[in-house]
Amino acid sequence: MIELKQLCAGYTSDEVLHGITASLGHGMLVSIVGPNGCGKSTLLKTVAGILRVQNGEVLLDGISASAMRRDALAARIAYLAQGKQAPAMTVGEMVLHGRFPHLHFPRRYSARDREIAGTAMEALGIMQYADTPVAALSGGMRQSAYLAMALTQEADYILLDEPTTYLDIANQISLMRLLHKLSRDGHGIAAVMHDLPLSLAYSDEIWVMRDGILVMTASPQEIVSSGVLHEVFGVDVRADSGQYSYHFV
Amino acid sequence: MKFLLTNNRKAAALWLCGILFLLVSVALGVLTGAAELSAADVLAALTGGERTTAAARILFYVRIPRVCAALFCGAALAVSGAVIQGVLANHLASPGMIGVNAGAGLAVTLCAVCGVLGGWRLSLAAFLGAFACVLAVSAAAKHWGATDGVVILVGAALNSLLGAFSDAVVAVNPDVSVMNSEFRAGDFSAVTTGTLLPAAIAITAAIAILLLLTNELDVLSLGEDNARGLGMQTGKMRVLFLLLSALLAGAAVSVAGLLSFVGLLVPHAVRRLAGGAANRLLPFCALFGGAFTVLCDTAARTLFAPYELPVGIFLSFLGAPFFLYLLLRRRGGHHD
Repeated sequence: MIELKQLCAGYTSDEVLHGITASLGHGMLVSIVGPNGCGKSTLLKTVAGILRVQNGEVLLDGISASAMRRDALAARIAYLAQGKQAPAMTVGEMVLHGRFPHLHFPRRYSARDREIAGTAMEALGIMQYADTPVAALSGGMRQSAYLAMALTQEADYILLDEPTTYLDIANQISLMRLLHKLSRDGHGIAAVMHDLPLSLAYSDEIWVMRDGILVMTASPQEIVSSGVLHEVFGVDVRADSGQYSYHFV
Repeated sequence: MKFLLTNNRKAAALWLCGILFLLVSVALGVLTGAAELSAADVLAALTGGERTTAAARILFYVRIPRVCAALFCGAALAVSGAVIQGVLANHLASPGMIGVNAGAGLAVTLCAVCGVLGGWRLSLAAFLGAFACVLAVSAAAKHWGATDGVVILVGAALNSLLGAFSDAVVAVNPDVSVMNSEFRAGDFSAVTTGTLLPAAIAITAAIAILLLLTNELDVLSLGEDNARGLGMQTGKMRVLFLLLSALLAGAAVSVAGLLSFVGLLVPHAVRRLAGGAANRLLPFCALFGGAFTVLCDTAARTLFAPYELPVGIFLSFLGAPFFLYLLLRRRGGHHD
């Protein structure tokens, strides 16, 4: 389990996150929502060890993440950044780099590493693109390739920063279903999201943030009924009967 | 798992082509010139014990050092260009374009003023000059973003500033001959074993280390946050790559002067042929960069006989239009 205890973090001396306390367990899909600039991406980067903890702590199965080596942390927590660059390599080569944190110098990938990468590409339905340059993929396929890289990392937890951005609605739903399935397979997943209906429909828990503070963590039903979304976003969300029938009103 | 096999087959074919290209370039470089040597002359010189014949003297004291220098410097600049492009995430960057060569050039000029014209001290000074410049460009790219505009403008400013410093040093030390037109353009006519040997050792060591770090270079190209998410200590790794690329560029400048465009032309061509993954890009840059520079040097000294053009001028005729083509292509929305 990842536990955040009174977590404060930010860039250089500026504190962006103020005393965040929450936890992400195995088998959970969490959506982090909030207005632009409220600290959602900063939170993911801090949990992944990319930004330094200024105060409080991030615990991974009871051990302080700050005390762990970067590659040891990466072997447990996979992080996919917001910007999905198109590196000058093939999909297969990029996905294989998911094994990077598991290897030691001079980091040469083995047949076993290739097998794991191949399995991840098959799970995401992109095996036929293995020898295609990443730059030649559509936005949705590129997202899948990055996700395959994260799966190849074989981390217990996957953190995704705006994974549905630039995807059409069909690909957004497909991705959320995949994340839901991965969580049911045991992964703990946290994704920064801007699409409230999608987040509410697929997540086990919603973390609502504003101005660097975690305003509420609760199930989608509780979030909708609490009125916190109106308070934070200035919009109302109404829940009809059934899991996928939340509507803005 | 059968993915990546296509690339392996392609790579095998490219290795074959590259080795053939290298052999042809070296053969032409050794056999042609102001004094033509036949294959029989070369064979006799290589198998004979004494180096007393005219052919043997030309071969051992002129052609072989020159071909070796072009091989090492071409490989160094091409690999350095590929690494700098990867680290700065900008395919228009190269040691010549961003002022790295000019930094090494200023250091070589200062060495000449102090009476150091060869050996380890010269190579070290060239490396330090190159490293200072590559750090400056890297800092600018980090601060303002690694866009084409930032990298090229900072490079142009550095080239201009360091060139002015070199000119000023030469102006107040008129006896220093290092900043002559051949050095400015890049040329192998003054190569000696004294300048080549330390540079060759530094180049070999730097390329060997880089070949062990190809996966790291690829992971870095996924972007800062993704690379850190994969467990890489990006800051340290970036400095290491810049240090090695500066070592390569500095060593090449200490031998050949301000040779431009090899670090731009070769990585782009190789990327098209072999793809951009560093485990293929770097070795092929070394192979094709060396062979290409030997061929260009041979062409520069034979095509306009009895005059010899500095190879840097010949490369500029090829490289400058190619740079403009890349610039226009990127403005049109194409990216490699």
